[in-house]
Amino acid sequence: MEIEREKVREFRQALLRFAQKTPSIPDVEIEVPEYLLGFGKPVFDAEKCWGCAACKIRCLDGALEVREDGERRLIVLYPWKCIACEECAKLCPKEAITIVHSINLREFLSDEPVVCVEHDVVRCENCGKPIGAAKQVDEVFSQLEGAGYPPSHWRRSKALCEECRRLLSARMLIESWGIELA
Amino acid sequence: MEAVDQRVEAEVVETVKPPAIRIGYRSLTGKVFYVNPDRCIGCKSCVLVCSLSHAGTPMLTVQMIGEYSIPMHCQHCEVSACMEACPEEAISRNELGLVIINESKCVGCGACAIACPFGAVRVDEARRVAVKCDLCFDKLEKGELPMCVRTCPAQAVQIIECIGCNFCVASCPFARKYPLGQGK
Repeated sequence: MEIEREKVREFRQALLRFAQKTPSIPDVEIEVPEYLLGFGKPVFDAEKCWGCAACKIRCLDGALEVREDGERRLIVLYPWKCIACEECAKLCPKEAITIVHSINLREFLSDEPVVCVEHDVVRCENCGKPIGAAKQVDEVFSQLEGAGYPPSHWRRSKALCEECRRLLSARMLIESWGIELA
Repeated sequence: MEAVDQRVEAEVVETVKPPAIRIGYRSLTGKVFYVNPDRCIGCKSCVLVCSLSHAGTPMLTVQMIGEYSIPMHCQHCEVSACMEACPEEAISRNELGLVIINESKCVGCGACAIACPFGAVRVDEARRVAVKCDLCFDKLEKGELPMCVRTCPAQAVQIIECIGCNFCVASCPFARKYPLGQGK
C-alpha cells in the first residue's frame, strides 16, 4: 500500500504543534501495528554502516541529516518526519539499516533530532574540507589496492578533497605540456 | 576428438574474466579526447553548454592556475578507480569505451568520488546521484560531437584521430606506466 506523503506530513505537523503545548510527554516505546502505515524509524547497525550518507541524500522526507561535529560526522534523524517508507533500508549499499515499527513517544513528539550513528571524518590535507567518513574512505582504498591499484596511483591524491585533487591534476596536466607554473 | 577439444575451449572461456572492461575510448575508436591548455582562454563556455545539455548540472569544471586554465573532464580512465569502488555496480563501460554512471542504480554513496584521483565525480544533492562527464555519449553514438567540443571558441577541446604518440600515457599524473599500444 502506498503512503500518502502530503497527508502524513500535514498530520505530523499538527501533532507536533499540539505536543509543544503539552507539558510532559512520557518517555515510552510504543509498538505500532503493521496495518498502521507511516509510523516507524530506521535503526542503524553501527558495525555495518560506513557513513556515506546515501540514506540522507535519498530520503524523500528530509528526515535524515548529516551534522559535522568537530572531528565527528553524525547522521541524525527527525523522528516526526520519518514515515517508515523503507527507501533508505532498500538502497543502503551496506545493508546497515532496518526499519522497526515502533516509536519512542517523547522523541517522536519533539522537534529535536536523534543521533543514529557516529563516524570519524577524514579531512583534506590541503584545505581541511571533509573527504568522507573514515570507515568508507579506508574501505574504498583497501578495495582499490586489492583490485591491483599500485600505491603510486594514490600517493599524491589520496589525502586530498575533490577540489584539491582537481587542482593538483590540472596543474600536473598543464606542466606535462612543458608550461612552467608559478 | 574435435568435439572434445571444443568443449575444453568453451570451459576455459567461461572461467576467464572478460578483458573488455579495461579497454577505453581510444582503443575502441582510435580517437582521443584532446585538451590543450595552451589554447584554453578560460571563458567557461564549455561549462555553460554542459549544464544546458545535462539538465542544469555542469559535469566539468575549468581550473584556473595563474594565467593558465584547463577544462577538467572525466578522463574515462582505462583503469577506472570509480568503477572498482562502486558498491552497487552502477558504473560501467559502454560500447564506445566510455565510463558511464547508471543513474537508476546509483544510490549516491559517494564511493566513486572518494576513489577518483582526478576529483571528476561528485554527488549532486539535487539529483540525488553521483554525476560526472559522460562525454555526451548519446551524441557521439549518433556521430555528432560533444557539446563542449562543438562550443569551444578556441578549439582547446577536440576529438582527434590517435596518432599513437603515447603522450596521454606520459602526461597522465596517475598512470600506471603500462604499455598501451593497442589503439590504431
